[in-house]
Amino acid sequence: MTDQPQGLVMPKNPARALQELHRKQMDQSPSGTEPDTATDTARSTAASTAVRDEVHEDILPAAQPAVRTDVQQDARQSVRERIQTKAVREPTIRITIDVPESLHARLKEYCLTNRVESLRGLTLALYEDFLSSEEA
Amino acid sequence: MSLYSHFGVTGSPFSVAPDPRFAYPTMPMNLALANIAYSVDEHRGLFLLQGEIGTGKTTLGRFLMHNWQQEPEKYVAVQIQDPSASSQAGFLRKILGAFEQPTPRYLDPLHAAMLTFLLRSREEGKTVVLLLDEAQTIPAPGLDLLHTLSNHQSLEDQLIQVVLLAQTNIIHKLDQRPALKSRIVGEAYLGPLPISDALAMLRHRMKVVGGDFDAVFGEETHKPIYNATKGIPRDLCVLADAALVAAFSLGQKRVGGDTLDTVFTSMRSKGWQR
Repeated sequence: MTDQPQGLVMPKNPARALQELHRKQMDQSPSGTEPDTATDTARSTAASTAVRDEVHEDILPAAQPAVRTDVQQDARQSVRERIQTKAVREPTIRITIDVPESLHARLKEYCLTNRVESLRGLTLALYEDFLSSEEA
Repeated sequence: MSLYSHFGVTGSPFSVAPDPRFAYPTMPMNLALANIAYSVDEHRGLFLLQGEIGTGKTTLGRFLMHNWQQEPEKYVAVQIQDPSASSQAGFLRKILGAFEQPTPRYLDPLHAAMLTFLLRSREEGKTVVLLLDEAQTIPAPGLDLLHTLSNHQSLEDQLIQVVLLAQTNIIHKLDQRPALKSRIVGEAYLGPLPISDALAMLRHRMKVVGGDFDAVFGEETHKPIYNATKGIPRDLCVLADAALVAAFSLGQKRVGGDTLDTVFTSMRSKGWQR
């Protein structure tokens, strides 16, 4: 093969490239005034396509309303106090908590009651508690 | 005989890895490229590239990074693939780490380190570019941090150029943050391809690895491939690749309609049909 396929090329002068592309787009449009109809059509139809099924960290607590509403107040208060004593105003990467036996049992009960099945879920719930108390 | 030699190619033509060699210059791709390059070069600030899944956002990002990194005297550019840190400090630490800057523990020193880095880069005449992939996964604290970073500006322009590569559902998050949304100075969109671009992209990819698309894929396969994938570039590549594998395993030199039917049947999870 002698000729290199012409792929995407970084424009040397982006402003001029933009002008040329817009001009080309207008020329390609049947009416001369409409932009890329095929793309617009694709965009409108694509808006209804399924998005990747991802769990977003910041919506996880909201996706677990049971965690936020059916909490046993005592356990929650205990957890909040433990977090507050160890964490400074800015959340840290690692929070080390010495969990006594009684609190461990209550945490376990909290997780069972509220269907928190992962350490990540628990951490996020605690994290939100911590932030709520900070805001308060 | 390997699959590659069977079809006379030097490598995988339809790899879904974001290899910039395979980036095909459709009009929307060229527009997105020129818009982002313009925004970055003019130090305009925050740019948003939206696109459906598999439409080439990451490939374009890699292409941009590859080019910016070719000019280290002009650009300091990093790409973060996973921007989902759960705190502002964690996110800022990740960003500074990507730029190979010190990463102190707390937020105030982190901001100080960032500002120092941005000012030093400006003095050196370098453009600082932060490219955030999967930006729709940035949690609330990360979005707040982006707003804060957009405040780092001189009298004339922005000190850091942030390019968000995101699926279209990011708009729901931005709607909740009008202040950040108002900082977005440029946007582009990548969507499904029309059939002419879809076939041109597949031809381009075969050519990159020394092959001939039309010599392998019979004309009767073109519309079924397009209809099944609805013009989504990644799906086009996955289907074309699966068709090559199927043809190879059947000892065929060409992919025909029967080969595609084999693929449609075997890859049930895709829901592909003519």
